[in-house]
Amino acid sequence: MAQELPIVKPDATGAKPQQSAAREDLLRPLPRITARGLIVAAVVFIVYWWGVQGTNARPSELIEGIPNIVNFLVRLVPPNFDMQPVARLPFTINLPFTINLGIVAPAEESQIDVEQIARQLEAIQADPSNASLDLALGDGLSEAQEDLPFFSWQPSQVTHLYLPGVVPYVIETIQIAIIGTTLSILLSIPFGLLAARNISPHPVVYQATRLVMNAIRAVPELIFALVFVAAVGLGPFAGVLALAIGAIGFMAKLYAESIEQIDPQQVMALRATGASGLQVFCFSVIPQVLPLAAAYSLQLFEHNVRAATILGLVGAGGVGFILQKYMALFQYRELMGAVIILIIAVTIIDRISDRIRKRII
Amino acid sequence: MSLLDVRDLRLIYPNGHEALKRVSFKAEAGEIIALIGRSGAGKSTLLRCINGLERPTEGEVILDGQVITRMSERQLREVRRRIGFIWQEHNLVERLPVLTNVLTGRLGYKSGLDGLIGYFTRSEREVAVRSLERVNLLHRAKQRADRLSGGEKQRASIARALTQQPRIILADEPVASLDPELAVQVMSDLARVAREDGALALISIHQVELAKSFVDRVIGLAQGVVVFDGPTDQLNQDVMDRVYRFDKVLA
Repeated sequence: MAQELPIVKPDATGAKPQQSAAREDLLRPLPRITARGLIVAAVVFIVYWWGVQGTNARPSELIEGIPNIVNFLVRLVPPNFDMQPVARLPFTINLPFTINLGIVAPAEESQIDVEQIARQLEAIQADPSNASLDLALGDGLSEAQEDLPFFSWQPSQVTHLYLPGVVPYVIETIQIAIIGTTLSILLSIPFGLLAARNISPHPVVYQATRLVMNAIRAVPELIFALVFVAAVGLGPFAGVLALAIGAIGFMAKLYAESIEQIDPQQVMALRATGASGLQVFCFSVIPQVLPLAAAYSLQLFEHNVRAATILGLVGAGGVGFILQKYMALFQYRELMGAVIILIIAVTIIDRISDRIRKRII
Repeated sequence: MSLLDVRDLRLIYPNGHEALKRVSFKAEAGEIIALIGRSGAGKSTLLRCINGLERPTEGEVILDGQVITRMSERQLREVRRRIGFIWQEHNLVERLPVLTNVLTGRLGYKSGLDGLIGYFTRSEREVAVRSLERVNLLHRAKQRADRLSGGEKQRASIARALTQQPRIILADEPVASLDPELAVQVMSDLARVAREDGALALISIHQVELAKSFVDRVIGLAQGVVVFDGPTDQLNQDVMDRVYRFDKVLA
């Protein structure tokens, strides 16, 4: 039996005008324009106008800048992967075409061919009037390849296994992220416990922990990186420390919130069996918190892979250093190659971490 | 000396609500008692006072000669490990396997690091496995608790209580969230294992007819007062009115 809204007819005496007005309001398809609404709209408009003024965000500036953007984009292609020889192949692959990926000559070929130089020197001695010495240096090949088109039907030979020059730096970035994330998780757990309302030993401890966490969260990782570069010197360890400390504020808050969401009944049931506080924690709090906490931790890892990329800009290890080098030398094609490799690596990591996340939830 | 002696229990919550007014009764080992009464009559509060989860304002709960209402939390632990508690919403740790949930019934007996990392000895596991067998749930031992059906979850929580090797089993509306058929199963399991172990079982329950076929004695609570305490066969309409329709009887 559906309960009908009482229909209030407007009567001559106006006995219930309020009620009928309220009902009328419910039927209104568009909201009423009120003084309050106008004030809110005005405030919002002023805030945005103020923001646009302060940041010089003007379409005209962007339009004027388009040629510069196009110029930059043109200089990014074709990408140059700065290929480095890693190992000599046991066989030679003959290709009917050449793809110029910016291959640097293998180290052994870049060595000076002593016999050839000796022969040239003999020739110079025999006929000093025509003195020219061709030192076949490895860089010569690299320079030559710069001028080659990206693709040509010129036959080529592949004798070595090549990897993009940026790969070791990407690997270092991932290493920084793994170690930094792990340290960060370990450091965040105690803070998370102290900052969870239902676990924290005392309200004062809870408030103090939250305060410290907020302070840490306010400082960007890059600042921590600068501090640790000063402390432990240039290199990946500074990056590891920056990630480890920088994420505490954030992770401890997430852990604390996961702990606050647990079902208190499941905790109570264990307390009723005579289990001690620590036992209750291990058998009821941890199993309940684990999936959420693990998901957050994986998220942190993904975030840290990106953060570790930036850390290189201040010398804290990782791929950022190489990106900065290419940019400073205007090697935009090499920059593009490095960025492509980085995108591939990050995508693979995100996929793996998604897989793990699905398994634990 | 009775196993359980509840004397003039009175409990006023901080918000001023008087959940228990003056509740007294004695119970012996081996008794199966149904605790009946309307929602808010004080049944849950009474059960929670008996294992020390709530502190009464006045009165005493004496268990085997020990006054548990005056115990410290540490002393309570030792008492609680011999009191099984079965909850309406089973309160199993959903993400843990059934066997681990049942093994948590042994935690009260453990104090070392082994208890924290989940190491249980062969004999402890024996107790847990035996408990699962008694409620016909051994085939589910390795599954996660949240994979079980409602009736199975409640039987698993009975197994957890049994693993404590309890002298008293307190059950707070153990069948309220189950369908009638499962309710009969769970009640019969509960009464059977309590009888087999000679434990005192105190079961709060709404389905009086269901309770009658499994219990020896009924305690009726209304507004925090015991209005009936006697053998099941004395339960008649008059008593039912006093327990469930006291407001109308008075009016």
